[in-house]
Amino acid sequence: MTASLGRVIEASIDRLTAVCHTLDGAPPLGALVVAEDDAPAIYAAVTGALTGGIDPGRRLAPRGGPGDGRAAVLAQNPQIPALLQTTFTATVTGHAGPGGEMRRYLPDAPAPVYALVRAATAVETAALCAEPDYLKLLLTAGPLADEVTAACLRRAAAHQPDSRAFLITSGRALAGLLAAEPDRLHAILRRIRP
Amino acid sequence: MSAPHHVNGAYDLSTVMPPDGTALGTVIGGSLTKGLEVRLAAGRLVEEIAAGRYVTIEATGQKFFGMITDVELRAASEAVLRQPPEPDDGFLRAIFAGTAVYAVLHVMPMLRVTGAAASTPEPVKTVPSHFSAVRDATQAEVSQIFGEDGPGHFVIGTPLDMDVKVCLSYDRFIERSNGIFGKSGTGKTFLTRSILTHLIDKSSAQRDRGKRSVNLVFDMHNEYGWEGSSEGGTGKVKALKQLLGNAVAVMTLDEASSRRRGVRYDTAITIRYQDIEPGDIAVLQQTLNLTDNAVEAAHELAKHFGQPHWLRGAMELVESDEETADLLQRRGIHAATILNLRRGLQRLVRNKHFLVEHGGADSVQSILKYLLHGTNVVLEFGAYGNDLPAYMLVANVLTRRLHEVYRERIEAVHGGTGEPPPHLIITIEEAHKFLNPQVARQTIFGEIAREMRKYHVTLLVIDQRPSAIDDEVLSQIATRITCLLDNERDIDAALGGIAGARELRAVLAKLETKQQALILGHAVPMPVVVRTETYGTEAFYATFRQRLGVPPPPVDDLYAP
Ligand SMILES: Nc1ncnc2c1ncn2[C@@H]1O[C@H](COP(=O)(O)OP(=O)(O)OP(=O)(O)O)[C@@H](O)[C@H]1O
Ligand SMILES: [Mg+2]
Repeated sequence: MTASLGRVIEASIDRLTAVCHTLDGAPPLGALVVAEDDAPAIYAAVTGALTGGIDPGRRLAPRGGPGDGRAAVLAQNPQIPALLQTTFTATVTGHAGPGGEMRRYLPDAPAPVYALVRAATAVETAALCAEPDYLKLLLTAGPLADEVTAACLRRAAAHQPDSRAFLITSGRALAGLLAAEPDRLHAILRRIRP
Repeated sequence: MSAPHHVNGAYDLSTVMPPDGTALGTVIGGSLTKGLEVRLAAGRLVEEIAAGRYVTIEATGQKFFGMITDVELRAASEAVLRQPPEPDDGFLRAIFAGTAVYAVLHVMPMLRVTGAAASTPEPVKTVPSHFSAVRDATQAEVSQIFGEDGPGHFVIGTPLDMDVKVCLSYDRFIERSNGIFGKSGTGKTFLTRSILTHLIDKSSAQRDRGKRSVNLVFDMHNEYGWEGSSEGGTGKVKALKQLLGNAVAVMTLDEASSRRRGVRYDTAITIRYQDIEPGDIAVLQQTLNLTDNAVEAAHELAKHFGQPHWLRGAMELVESDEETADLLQRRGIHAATILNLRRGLQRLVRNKHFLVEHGGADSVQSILKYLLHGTNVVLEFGAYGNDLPAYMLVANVLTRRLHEVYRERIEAVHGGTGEPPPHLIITIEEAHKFLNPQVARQTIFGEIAREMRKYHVTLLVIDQRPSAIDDEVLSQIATRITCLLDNERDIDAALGGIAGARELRAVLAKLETKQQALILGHAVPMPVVVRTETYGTEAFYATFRQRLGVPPPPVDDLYAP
């Protein structure tokens, strides 16, 4: 089992936010993650990451002089990492059914808060991408949905034996889903072109 | 663009990869009269689809058979057409093909088979439902529809993109008059020769004497009897006598020409003055530039001189002569009319060595003897084939007399005496000359076409210009085998009176220039486009002989002069 990346701190049916165990430890954009931990797995694609102060009410104060690099600032202020945290958000793309089967639609309930979140394995990624239905969920992932979709497809393609064929099949599915939005379709296709 | 296009712009996984490789698409709309719209499956290339090809539509509890009549390109939305991928952008093209843009096949449903495998195909009265699966018809299905080569069916060719034989029904083919149409050089003569060979063969396979048939071919250009010429480098091809031996007799109107060409003919044919009736002249009215009055005068003169002598009498009339003037006045004939008639008749008889005034055998009797005996007759015209009045005169005189004999015989049979003669099929080239609206009512050919098989005589008409044939006659042409036609009116005429013909127009206009034909009508259960067999190769003769059960040559020994 891959080591966990973080823990769910906020979840809705279609989204989740997790805080990372390590500063700057968020998975990359479009990566598939799994929230599991005693409950059936919920699969999600990373839609964003944020590193900032622990206390959302307070901004970080400026440190260091104009000549100091980042490393120098951190060395002068060893307490800083403790004041920071990295969180990432992900949009749900599917979940495991009672028999462990892959369901490419929304689960009944959000991921439990404090559940551990880990990266999806290559096997899980391939299983999710075996049918293009999950793309419909990706396309509703918010204002950056197109970027997320393209990133997710690029990453998934890397795990496929024939990545070009995979991208074509996925592109065909997108062409159907975005038949009425050709500009979005073209934008995504430009980003995944092998 | 209408709503269904958007609905069908949606992604349909089931059509991406046909499991057996033969799925063609899915029914997305259409009607019984206009035909079906079939969305081409994404895995299929529109470039490999040909109009005229057969498809099978799997519907609930039944199968439909139809023909692709047109292929259309559509876009799920206009937007994709505004920024089309570059022609060399394989990635985007692969994505858009079958999704944002797709092809629609227009399919004419023609037959359906219900439930049990053994049930016979019947004409369609409804259409398959939405989203029925469409696939290429299999060879087994096509041969089930058209029947297997045997006493009741003969091979005509191979459907497009298939390796299976399409057959015509022998019974149905001899039952009614049929036509072979197409522009010059499309293969009408080659096809007719092959059909005749099959007819002769199948006739001999009939146990029921009532189903036997015999052919009389008016061989205008000397292509059917002994040998035909091929315009390619291949030169000569064997014709009926060389292929079928004693089943065929070659007769000639022009012995000199036949001898020059090395044809082993059986008899020379003459036409006697006494055989020519005023009605035969009427048919030639346009060709001989005769006025209506002149034709009328011919009838009057026949009454005056008597049938055997009227032709000579009419040609020798001198209108200044007192006795003649008297005759003309009594019969109400103008001097100018006689001039016109005489000129026409003189032109008719000029340089025609087959016309004899005195003596000469009754050719009709000798032809009849062969026909009644079941021997097929090819009448070569030799050099007279280029002489339209000669061709029309001979064909008309002989056919009229033969028809009379047939009619008497059939009437006698109805009266309880004698045997019915074998069914007679008369093949004429340039058929519109006999069957155009001006003469169709007067010629024996028009009569034969209209009375159908009443007297056991039917026509096989060959023509480049079906539009020149009288509509009523054309409507009696039961099976139409049409090679490429490019004149709109000819296409209309060839398809006239056939249900769904409008959709077949595209198919007809897209035939190749040679050896392809659209067959529709009585002798086929549904229209079919075939590639006709290549006639004239050694392999062809060999398979032909084998199929016909004809022993191999040497021809020379069999027909020593
Ligand atoms: N079935 C065939 N097998 C072999 N060659 C063929 C066949 N059909 C057509 N051809 C070729 O095409 C040429 C023209 O065919 P054909 O003489 O039958 O045309 P047509 O339609 O009778 O023309 P026209 O109206 O001028 O008489 C032939 O000389 C031959 O070379
Ligand atoms: Mg010809």
